[in-house]
Formats: sequence, C-alpha cells, structure tokens
Amino acid sequence: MKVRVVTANRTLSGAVVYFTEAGDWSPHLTDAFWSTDKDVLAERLAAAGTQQALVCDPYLLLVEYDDETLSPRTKREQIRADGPETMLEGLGYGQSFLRAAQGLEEAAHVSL
Amino acid sequence: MYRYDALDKEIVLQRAAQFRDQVRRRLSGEITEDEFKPLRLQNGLYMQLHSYMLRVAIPYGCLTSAQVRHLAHVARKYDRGYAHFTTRQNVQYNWPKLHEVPDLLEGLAHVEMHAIQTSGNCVRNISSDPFAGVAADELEDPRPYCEILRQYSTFHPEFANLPRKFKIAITGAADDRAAIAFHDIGIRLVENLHGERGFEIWVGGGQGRTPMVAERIREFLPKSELLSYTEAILRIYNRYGRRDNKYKARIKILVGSLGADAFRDQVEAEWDLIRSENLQLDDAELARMATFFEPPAYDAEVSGVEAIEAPLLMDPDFRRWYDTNVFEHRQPGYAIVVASLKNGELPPGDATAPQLDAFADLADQYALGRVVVTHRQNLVIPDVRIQDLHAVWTGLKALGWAVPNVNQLSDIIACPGLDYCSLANARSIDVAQMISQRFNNDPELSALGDLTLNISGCINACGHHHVGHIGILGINKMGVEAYQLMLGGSSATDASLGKFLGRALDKSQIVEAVERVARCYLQIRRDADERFLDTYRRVGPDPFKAAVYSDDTQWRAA
Repeated sequence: MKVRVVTANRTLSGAVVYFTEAGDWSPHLTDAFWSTDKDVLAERLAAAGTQQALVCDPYLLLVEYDDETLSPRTKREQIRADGPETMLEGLGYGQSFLRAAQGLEEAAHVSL
Repeated sequence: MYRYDALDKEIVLQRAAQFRDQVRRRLSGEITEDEFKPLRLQNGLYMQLHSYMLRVAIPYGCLTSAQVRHLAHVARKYDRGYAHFTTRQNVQYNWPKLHEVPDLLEGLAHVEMHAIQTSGNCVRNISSDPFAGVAADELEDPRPYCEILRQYSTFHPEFANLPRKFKIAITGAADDRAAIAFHDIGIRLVENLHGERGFEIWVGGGQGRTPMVAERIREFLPKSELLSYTEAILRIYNRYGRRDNKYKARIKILVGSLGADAFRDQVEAEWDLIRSENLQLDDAELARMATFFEPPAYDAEVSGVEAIEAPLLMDPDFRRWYDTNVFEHRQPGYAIVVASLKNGELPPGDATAPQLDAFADLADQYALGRVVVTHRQNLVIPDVRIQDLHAVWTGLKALGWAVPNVNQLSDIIACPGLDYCSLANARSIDVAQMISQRFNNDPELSALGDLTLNISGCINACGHHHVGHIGILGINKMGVEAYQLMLGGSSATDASLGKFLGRALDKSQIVEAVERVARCYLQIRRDADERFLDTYRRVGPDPFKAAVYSDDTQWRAA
C-alpha cells in the first residue's frame, strides 16, 4: 500500500530524519508517522514546518507500507534512508573510516 | 605560488567570522532555512542527500604540501576521514556538521584557503592546466593570469548575481589539458605574427543539458586587456543572459541564440566603452604577479633518464607506470608525476587523510612541496627529479596511487552520483568501480592507450560524460537506474561532443557494454598507434553499435 510520511534533513548535521507520531524526528523510516489522508498529511507537514530550527525543508514522501513495515519506493529514497552504498560496503576506507562515521553520527545528535 | 597579503588574510578571516554569526542565527531559529540558504551557498555549503557538503576552493588546482596536510586534518576532524577532489580542481567534504563549519573555515583561512565563490551565480574557481609552469609544451605559464582573474572576480559587486554560474579556464600549452572549449570563457596564451604574447578568447562552451563547444571570438587580445575584455564579456552576459529559465541561463545559450559573430560585436562595442577605464594591466603589475610563480631553484646537478635505466629494464610494473603516469618537464632532469586516484577501491577522486599526509611527505621529500589537482580528479607532483622517480613510484604504490592508468579507460571521471547528490538520477561511483576493476585486472583491456571514460549520474554532467571518449549518463527509467552510452567526446585540443550510441542499458549490462566497445576498437583499429577517438572518428558509430546491441534480445533476457 502506498502511504505518505514527512521527511527532512537535520539542520545540524544534514542527516535524514522522519517525523514521528509524537512530533519529533527519528533517523529510522520505520518510526515515521504515515497516512493516506490528505488533510492529516497537510496538518503533519504544517506541524513539521514549525520546527525549522531543527530540520530543513520538510516534505511529504511516498513510501510503501507492507506487513506493518515502511520501506522506500525509489533507489534515491533507499540511499537517502541507508546512506551511500559505497560507504556501507566499507570499500577502501577501512575501519578507521567506519569508526569515524559512527562517532560523527553520534555527535550529530547532540541537543540544541 | 601566490601568497596572501595582509588584506587577503583579513578578508577570509572576516568571512569566516560572518558565517559563524549566520550559523548561530540559523541554529537559534532567528533565520529560516530559506533565509540561510543563500548565505551558506555563498560559502560553498550545500545540502546533499543525507548531509551537508562543503566545497573548498583550490585556485587553479595549486596546493602546498602544508595545505594538503591541512586538508587531511579537516578530513579527520570535521569529516569521515577522507576528501573528494573535483573536476573543477577543488576539494569537497561530504559530511561536515553545520555548527563546526565556522571553525573549519577559520582553520582554512590560516592556511590561505577558503570556500568563497565555490557555489552560486558568480565567477567560480579559475581552472587551468595542471602542468602549468612545468609543461614542456607550454608557451607561457598561465598561473599569473589565473591569479589576476581570481583577484578581479572575487567579491566583484557587479558580478555577484550573474544569471547563472560562470567558469573560466586558462591554458598556456599547445595540448589543452584545461578543457577551455567547455568553459564560459576559455583562454589560451598565444603568440601573434609579431612575436607578441596575448590571449585567444573562446566563449560559450559548456556541458549540462545543452552541451556546446565554445566559439572563438578573438584571435589575439593584448595581455594588458585581459580584465577589460573579460569585463566586457561579463557585462554583456549579465545584461542579456536569461534569468527567466535556469536551464537557459548560461552564457552558452546567449552565444548560441545570438550567434558568435553578433555576440562578439556586442562584446567589442562594450569593450570600446570601458577599455580606457581603470582596467588596464600594466607591465609592472604583470611582472609583480609573475614573481609569485617564478620557477623554483631547480637542481642543476641532476641525472637524466639514465639514472633509472636499471629499474626501467628490470621492473615491468615501474616501466608501465613510467610510460603512463610520468610526463615531460620543461626543466632537464625533472619529470611531472601524476598520482592516479583511480585504483578501483575508493571512489574516483577520493583520498583518505593518511593518504593525503603521506602524499604531502612525498611532495616535500622529492619535489619542492608543490601539488596540483587535475580536472580528471588526480593529483600531480610537478617537480620530481628523474633520478627520484623510482622512489616516488614506491611511495605512491604504498598509497595505492601508482596505478598505471592516467588518461586510460580506468582513469575515470565520475560525479558523486546518487550516493550523495540530491540532483542525481543514478549512481556513478559503483559503475566507475566496476569498470575499473574489470579493466585494471585484464592485461589486454588495461593497455588500450589513450581512452578517457567519464560518468555522470544525471544530465547536469558534473562527470563530464559529453566529453569522454566514452561517456556514460545515468538516467532514471521508471524508477530504476539505467545508463546511456556515448562515444566520441573530447575535452582536449580536438574538442568534440560525444553522441549517444543507442538505447539505455541496465546497470547489469553497462560494464559488459564498455568491454564490447573496447574489444571492437581493438579489432578495427588500424594499428596500436591509432587512438580510440581517432578510430571512432574514422569509422563512425556503426561497428560499436553492432558490437553493443547485436544480440540485444539475449541481453534483454539476461
């Protein structure tokens, strides 16, 4: 089933986040609040838009809802959700890169 | 190399301080993203798919070893341990955090670097021949003129809001390694019949969705008029360039719609009005700028190629690298070394912090501490004594940067593609890596001679697919990545645009398709000296089309 969620990039880090039912932001698509109701979605987008200090340019994103799981419908959104595929495979960057990546992600979630 | 004076230092430090306050206001909610966006873009800070991206300027690609070490420091402290060199001879960081960017910029200022005018509708980084100042085929070093134009165009109030971005390249060599035919303004140093040096001026070249080869509008411009003529071109563009449609806003569209002759007439008329103003470059200023780029103190007591005869004979790997990655230097006893950042492991143009540090050490130990970024996303050490080549090769091998493939098929230009870029339709990096691995590991396919391959993940052509001998364009075909193959492009002196070969190919087919093109070339070339591009121009696309698409139905079934 096609549903919509609200997504944006964090102002601090640029990291991809999804708007949750509680009105905060999660890095996981599975945590996103979803709906097919246009009015509900417009209200959620407006609510997300009031958090511009936290996030940049929130927008509605079409995703797949199946077996109680949300998943991206395009390669672009899959990469947006998971990060660059070249990074995931590690390639020649080595363990120091992976450790740095992990550490920086944690640092990105500092409180404002 | 140009060194900052007190004013330069003050300007870049002030700029970092201004940005610090802008970031503070953004994070506190005092200004919105819409208000902040033009401010961050003026400092080279983009928002990509899943992070910010900071583009740092490297004027005409030139770096000191100290600056290379600082780039490594930035990669470690503010990013994920690596940096990415671009086709504009700049460097990009893919994971900076907004609140850390002011510190990052302040640190760059202390090593005479910045991110000013690396984005936005202004004059971007002036690019040049990566062999500038040392090339054996050079009439004159173009770097003083690059620097004059850099200073002229930086913070120029009249040209801070052009219809679109504006790119200038200058070369002083016979062999065009700066792609001047694909710039908004391309400049070549020439000598006229009276033996006077000046500039040949080309305008309206570019790639993107409307690729065009530049038109020559002036055969000879006296050196003293470099700024006045550039200003006349910029004024005509600023006045008549389209602002109603982003995709028709580059100067190439204006030149194309007016025609080169009419465009030239307008520029010359404007030039007549302004040339007597304060824009003349006098001999003293030209001489002053040239002092920054005087040749270093070369060692007169150096050996020639006889010093490395033994390793050339005994070590076939060194010999192969010497044949492909070492270029003639104007100074006897010296050579230009190109370190290939295309080993098929990291994405093309990526360098880790340890690699950068070790490379800076090599440049200091063997080559006067100077480094140049190429528009093919490699790094040059311009002043290596021939007698030191084996030691430099050994050092580069340890970094994985001694792959003997410069200007060959696996020396791939690739944009960041869908792995990073919010504009991309398809991934570029993994395609480049698959092709590199396939071709580097095959003795026959790794020795095809001059054959460039460029990949872009979308029609904006950051990966220069129009001008690769083989070009690959990533597209979005009903939500699935697909790739179109082009043949026949060149960004060199024999500039040309590639042409699409046929229907788009699936990702699973693209490496095989490139291999079929390569094997077809091997079969039909006149001899080993006929370059791929010359074979293509002689026979046209049909043999290659047949090679790629002859068993189309099986491909589809696969």
